[in-house]
Amino acid sequence: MKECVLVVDDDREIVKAIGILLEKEGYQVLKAYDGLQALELLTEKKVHLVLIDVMMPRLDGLSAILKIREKRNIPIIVLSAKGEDSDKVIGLSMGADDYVSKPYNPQELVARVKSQLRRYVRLGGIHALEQEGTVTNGRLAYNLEEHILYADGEPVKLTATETKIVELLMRSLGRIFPAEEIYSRVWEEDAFSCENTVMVHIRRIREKIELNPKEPEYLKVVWGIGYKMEKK
Amino acid sequence: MDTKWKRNRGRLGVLCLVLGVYLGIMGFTWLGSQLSLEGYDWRKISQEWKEMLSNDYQDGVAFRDYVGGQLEVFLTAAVGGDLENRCLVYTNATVTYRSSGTVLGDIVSGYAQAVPEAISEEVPASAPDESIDEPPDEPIDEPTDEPIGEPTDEPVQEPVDEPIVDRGMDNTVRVEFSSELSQGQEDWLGRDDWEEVMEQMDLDSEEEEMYRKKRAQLEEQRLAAIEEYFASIEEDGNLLYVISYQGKTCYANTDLLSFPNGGEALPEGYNFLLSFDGTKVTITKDGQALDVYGDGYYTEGQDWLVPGYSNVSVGEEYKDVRVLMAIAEEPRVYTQGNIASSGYQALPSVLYWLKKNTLSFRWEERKGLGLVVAGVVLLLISFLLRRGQRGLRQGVARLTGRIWLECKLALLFLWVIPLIIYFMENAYPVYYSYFSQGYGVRLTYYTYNNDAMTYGFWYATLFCFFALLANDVFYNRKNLLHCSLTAMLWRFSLSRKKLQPLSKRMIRYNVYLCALLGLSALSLGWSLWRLGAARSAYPIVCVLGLFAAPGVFYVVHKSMDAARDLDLLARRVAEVKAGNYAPEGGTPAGTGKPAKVDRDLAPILADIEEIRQGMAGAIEEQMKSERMKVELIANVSHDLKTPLTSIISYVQLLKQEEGLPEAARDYVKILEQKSERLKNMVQDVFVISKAASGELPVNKEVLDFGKLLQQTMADMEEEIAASPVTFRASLPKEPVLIRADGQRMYRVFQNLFQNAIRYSLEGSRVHITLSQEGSLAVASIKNTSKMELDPDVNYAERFIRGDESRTDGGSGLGLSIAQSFTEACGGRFNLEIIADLFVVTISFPMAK
Repeated sequence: MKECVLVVDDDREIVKAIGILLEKEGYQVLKAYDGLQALELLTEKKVHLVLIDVMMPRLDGLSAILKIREKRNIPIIVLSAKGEDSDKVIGLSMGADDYVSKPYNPQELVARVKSQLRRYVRLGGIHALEQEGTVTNGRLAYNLEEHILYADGEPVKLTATETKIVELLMRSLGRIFPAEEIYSRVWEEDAFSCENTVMVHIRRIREKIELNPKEPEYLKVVWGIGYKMEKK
Repeated sequence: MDTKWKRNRGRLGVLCLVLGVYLGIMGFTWLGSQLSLEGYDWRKISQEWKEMLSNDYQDGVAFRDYVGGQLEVFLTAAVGGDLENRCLVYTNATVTYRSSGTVLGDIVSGYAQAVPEAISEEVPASAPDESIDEPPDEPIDEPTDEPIGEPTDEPVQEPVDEPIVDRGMDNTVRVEFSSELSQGQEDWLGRDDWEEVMEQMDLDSEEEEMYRKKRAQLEEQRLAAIEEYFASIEEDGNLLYVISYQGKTCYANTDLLSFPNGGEALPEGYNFLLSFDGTKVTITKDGQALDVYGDGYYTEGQDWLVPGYSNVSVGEEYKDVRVLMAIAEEPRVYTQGNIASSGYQALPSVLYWLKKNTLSFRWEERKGLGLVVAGVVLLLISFLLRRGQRGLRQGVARLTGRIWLECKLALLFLWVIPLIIYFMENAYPVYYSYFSQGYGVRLTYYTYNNDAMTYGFWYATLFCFFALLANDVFYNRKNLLHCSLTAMLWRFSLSRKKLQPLSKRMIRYNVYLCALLGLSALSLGWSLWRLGAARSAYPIVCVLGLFAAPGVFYVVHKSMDAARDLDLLARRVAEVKAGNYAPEGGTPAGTGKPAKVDRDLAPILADIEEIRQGMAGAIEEQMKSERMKVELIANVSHDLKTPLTSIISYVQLLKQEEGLPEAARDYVKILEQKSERLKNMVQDVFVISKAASGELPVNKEVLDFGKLLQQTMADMEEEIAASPVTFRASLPKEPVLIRADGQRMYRVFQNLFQNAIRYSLEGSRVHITLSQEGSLAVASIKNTSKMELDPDVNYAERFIRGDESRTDGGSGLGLSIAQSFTEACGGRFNLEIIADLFVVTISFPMAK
């Protein structure tokens, strides 16, 4: 079964490009060029995910999201030229599940679409992974018994050290760990100029779990203090 | 309860102290005004003490002196001596009775002062009416009733015409006597050995005859005076006397006494008997003989002034005189004449007044003593309650410590010292007159003295003043000088010397001017007054001052206004300088009223206001254009993003397209690179425009500067490893805490490191150090430039790059962003070029 993605943007070329990109990945793509059109299509067709621009004629993206959210629980990814944190906060609080700012990296966009769809379609709901012995954080879930990290429901291949780091951070979501503490608890040795070692591992984990490792959403560096797993 | 009592105890103690001091000093002054303070020994004090507590008027120096004087008169009269002449010669060591003379004048005039009405008629009896006028070569006039001459201050022994009674302000009575004789003549005529003197003077017979006649006349007058004197006291029942000479009774006013006599023979109502046997005196009082002579030497004020002491001799001619004197226990006023027919006339009744004065004087003394005792008791109480007074005294000292030293000194010099001098000047004559004027005058001072109370009060006030002063000096000795007008002005002028605005100085000059004007006006007035021109010139000066004062006031007022306006002006200029261009509706806080139009500086103020408004307009304009620029950049960067998104998307698609020729693949690759760079540039431009407009959100928190650098380097490890340069970091082990936005600072160092990697000479080292300099944490990044650096170029400027061809990967905004972000976080960004060395220092204040 092909998942159906609705792409909404007033820039036809962008819609076309995204369409090509997603069709290559095997998705069915519906195109709309303003908010109203998008709402119409949503009533007519079965749509699994919406990619929507903010600034559009007739009905802007944020209003459209509010309308969609009145009836549907499908994932919505906002695609906007406004890339600031405040814009992201507004978009997410309106009911969007993700926020991608223009100019986007095509691969990242595809990864985000995949991630959202996997969680929505395959796992049949948002809280499917909340089981006994599992710490869930957004699209990540860590099973404390199996010592396996799941991203979008799929196990991530981590080395033993990386798993230890992830377990440490997942157990205390939002807590900031200085490099020394991570080092002494994971390597169980005295920490001595460990910043580089820890940073290398953090970077590697990021590449495995983050959709865009350069702008991490989960495993974050708190500059001048330490590292933390952002609580979603 | 307990603390309340403690506090009240202190207050009560101080109250007792003050009251005690007041009463004590008042009592002492009172006593002092009544008692002589000189020549006291223990015996005298004990005697006076006894006398003071006694209600018997016969115990006392006044009575003793009266008796002595009366005896003297009787002795003189018995031998037919001269009553006018002083017979008492009292030197420091010896008192001798002369063969003639009397203290009658003293006694009568002195005692009579208490009853001036009575003496107006009676006293002349004791003072002969005649006048002996002139020196020998002039004819003798008939006795005249009109005294010519000047009043003298010495009321003793002059022939009394009529005492001029003057009730002075101080309630004492002064009696002035007129005299017709000069001292020399009087002396000459009064001498007993006058015949010898006449021989010595070698007078011719006519003159001698004249003087003989005169002498005879005097003899007659002398006898007449004696007769008259006895006539005046004959009917005074307070004093009974029997005087006999050579066995014959010559004067007596009673037949109840006779020689020889014992105390038991005293008539009813009389308790005092004096008997003179020719050499010595025996006194019986209340049937008991008194010890008259004591140690045998006469001491003034303590002993009976009667013959018989070793140092008081009596002449040979008195050997045959016998005197008996009885004195009433309760003297009364006796009258003369018949009420029905000739009218009522009070006799001098000297003893009655003596008693009255003595007793009232003693009562005053006791009152004074009572005050002293009360004062001492209060002082004792205050001493017992002394605990808890310390705090109160300190409190008082705190209060007095706030008073300017000048005020204290002024009080001291303008009030206290003049008061003391006034007291001394006024107190001195009291004792002076007391000692110089004999017993009669002494009795004058026995009368009630109002001033003692007042003086006592002022003495006590003075004492309190000095006590306060001492208290103040004791507790505030360290900052005595600190709290003074001079010190204040001194501090004022010191502290404001540099910072003081012109206007404040002007106001100060005005104050000085006013003070100086006031001072000169005062001194002018004073000197005019002192020069005596005052009588006529003073009113003129006053009127002039009256007119000049408003003038001076007006000028000073205007000047003050100008100073205030100047202050306003200075403030406005300062505001404009500080960049406050907001149009001024009212006035800045604290400057008071807005400048009025009619003031001198109003036009300048208006000009300043215009300039300010112009500036405000210009600044507004500039701000607007700046905002527009920033907005433009933001909009442009936003508008660029949409097409850029398409480009990147299609380049991506193109890249994925298969079957492209090799050349086309290269093109796509270039397109991809350039579109990526364009994307970065657009983002940078957007960020920097935000930072420049101050809209960059900053989330500050305390972080470790050293860790930030380490993390940044670790984060860029791969980049650094791949570069041809080596990083050398020297960071302190201990945390260096600052307050900053970690995300932004990461971007700053990321940019700086990238810069160093990109522009450093291959194989060179990049030195990263972090150190503490005072309260600053300073990080520095030093790298050796690949290219020659131009010291005149500010590399942190936007779009400036080391590479003028602008073909490398950077956006040209790296340093600019680093600078903006550092400053947005509250740090300082400094760029230095030393030859080829490129040094960036970033400093932050250390977090507490």
